[in-house]
Amino acid sequence: MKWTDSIRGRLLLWLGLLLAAVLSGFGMAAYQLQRTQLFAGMDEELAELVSQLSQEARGTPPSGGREGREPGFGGGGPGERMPRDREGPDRDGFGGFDEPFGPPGPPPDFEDRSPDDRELKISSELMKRLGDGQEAGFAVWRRGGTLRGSNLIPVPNYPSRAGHDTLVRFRHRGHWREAYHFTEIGECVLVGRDGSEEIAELHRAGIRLGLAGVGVLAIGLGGGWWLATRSLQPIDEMSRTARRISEGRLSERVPVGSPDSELGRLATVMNTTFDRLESAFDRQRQFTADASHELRTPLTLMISEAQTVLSRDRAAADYREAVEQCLEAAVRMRDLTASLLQLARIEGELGEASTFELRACVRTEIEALGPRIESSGVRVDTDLLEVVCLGDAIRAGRVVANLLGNAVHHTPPGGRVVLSMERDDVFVVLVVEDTGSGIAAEDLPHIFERFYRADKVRSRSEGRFGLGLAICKAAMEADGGSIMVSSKPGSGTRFEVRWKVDEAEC
Amino acid sequence: MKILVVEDEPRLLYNLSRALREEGYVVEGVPRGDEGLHQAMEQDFDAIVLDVMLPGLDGWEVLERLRRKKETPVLMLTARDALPDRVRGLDAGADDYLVKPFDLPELLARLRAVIRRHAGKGSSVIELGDTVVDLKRRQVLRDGEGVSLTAREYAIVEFLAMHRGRLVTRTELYERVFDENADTLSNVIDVHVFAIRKKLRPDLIVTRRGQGYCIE
Repeated sequence: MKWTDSIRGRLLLWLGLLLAAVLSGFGMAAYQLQRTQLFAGMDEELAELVSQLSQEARGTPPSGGREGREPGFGGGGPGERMPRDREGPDRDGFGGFDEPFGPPGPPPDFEDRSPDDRELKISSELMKRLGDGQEAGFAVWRRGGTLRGSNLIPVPNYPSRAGHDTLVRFRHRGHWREAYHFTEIGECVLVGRDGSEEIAELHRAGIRLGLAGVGVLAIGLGGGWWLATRSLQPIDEMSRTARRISEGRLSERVPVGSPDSELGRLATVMNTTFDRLESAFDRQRQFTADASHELRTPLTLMISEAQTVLSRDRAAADYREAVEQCLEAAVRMRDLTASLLQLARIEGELGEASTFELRACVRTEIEALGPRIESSGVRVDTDLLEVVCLGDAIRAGRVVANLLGNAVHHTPPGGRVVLSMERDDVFVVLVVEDTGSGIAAEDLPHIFERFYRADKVRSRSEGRFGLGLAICKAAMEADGGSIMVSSKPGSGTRFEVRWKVDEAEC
Repeated sequence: MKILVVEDEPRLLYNLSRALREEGYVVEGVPRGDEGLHQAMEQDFDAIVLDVMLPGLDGWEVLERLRRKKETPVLMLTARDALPDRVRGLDAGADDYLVKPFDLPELLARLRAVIRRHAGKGSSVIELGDTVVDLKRRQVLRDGEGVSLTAREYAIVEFLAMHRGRLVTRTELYERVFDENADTLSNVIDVHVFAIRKKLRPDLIVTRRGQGYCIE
């Protein structure tokens, strides 16, 4: 058996695939998040730097703030100076601001004076933050793409301008992360930083995530294995029990566990089936035992009869008697096998969709039993209706013959047997009532059992096997009818046989 | 030798009884379990042939109740040969077990064996000095020569030999060997014993005055 053939194997395979998919999804999302966060911090810093640089690159003197930052506000130079003064000491390193650009002008002039020749002056504080070009640096291009200044070697490519806005944009260049923007006057200001460390950090985070994922997958698969084993264990147990039962230990039962669980319900269903199977087997075994017992009795008789008579020389009359006895036993065996065969056939039969007329059937059977009825001294009265019933005429005939035969047999001379019928739209009931000895209450529940005889000694010597009523019951069941009995010991017995009325006849 | 046969099938009971009588046994036959138990308790039998399926009381029940009081050997007859049945029969105290349909010669042989074992005789031959009783062939030999005895004479010798060393009363002999009433034929046994002494040897059967007979 391939491992993928087992439910456990397939469960695990699917679990593994599912887990791997979910984990890699999560891992990728987490990785992306980490990356975004990492670059977001960097980008924020770069964006700040680029805006500061662009301010300074504009070459705005302390008063130039008017042009750069609040061009719409126009002059007001002295007012602006005040806060700049505070920054004064820092700027000293660069020797202050480029004076020629000092005079303020309206913004439209600004572009005309595009300061190609201007020197790029950057405050030392910003310079410190911008870096020395090794791990971080900057570049400023004039409008058109000529480099105005950069401390980066090599100088990065001039960024292509996507729109005409002045938004800060970002790009990767190798391990570098760069922020750039185009100012209103068309200059491009770029600040970059080496992101190797962040990328390495990201890689490490990726490896950690991957390892964690593999770990979770392993734990998940292990748990899945355990769960599958655990939940399949009752199934294994069931199949073992079922195998033992199929090997013949019919009394074994599948352990049910909790009866409301899925497997519990399955186990209950299986046990019900096994119960039926076992009782069917028991019935069959009992029947076989009974049948063989019944057949052995006449066989024993024949053998002992023959052996006794042959053990020495005897008179002719002795031989004759022995042969007669053997014949009697043989006839008994023949009748018994006929009855057994009849029973076996009826029990195996399915009710075919045929119909018969009950009154004619009853009359035929009474006629057939005529000589026996006459010799018994019992009067048989009838009160019959003409009804077409669903069922098999031969089976119905057997039922009537058996019931009538029994009634006559158990009724003393001078007694009376009445066959009457009642019907409604669905059923017709044939009642066979006698004034005979009745059936004792303790025998009543058993009389339809095969080989059940209320008086064993007498019935056996009379050649009655206790199969007649079993045959009746089997016949009625085959035709979808029923048979019932009630009896008062000493005053008589009443059998009620119920067939379905043929609806087409109504 | 007196045998009780309990069998509910009338013709089989008749046949068994006839066959056993023809073998020289005294036979009592009853068709019901309760009657069988009653007989077995009231009288002493040398063996009981007991059917299992019986009206009144079944064979197991008869056997169980009998064993509380008596050790009479029992041969069970049954139509069921399932192993549990056999085990049950032997465990309940049956001495042997036969499944129907049985062979009559086998039944007779087993019955002889059961009786012999019960009398403590392992073999089917009882030696009384120069006289030998062959239980199987129902014959008495003297110095290796067959002695011709009548059926009743042989039965007396057999019974006394089986109960060797024990005093057997006349009543016992009448009941278990002759199946006859002791009062009516009081001197018949004396006649038979006289004949036996003449055919075998005078001192084989010892008479105890007023009590009975004995083979020492």
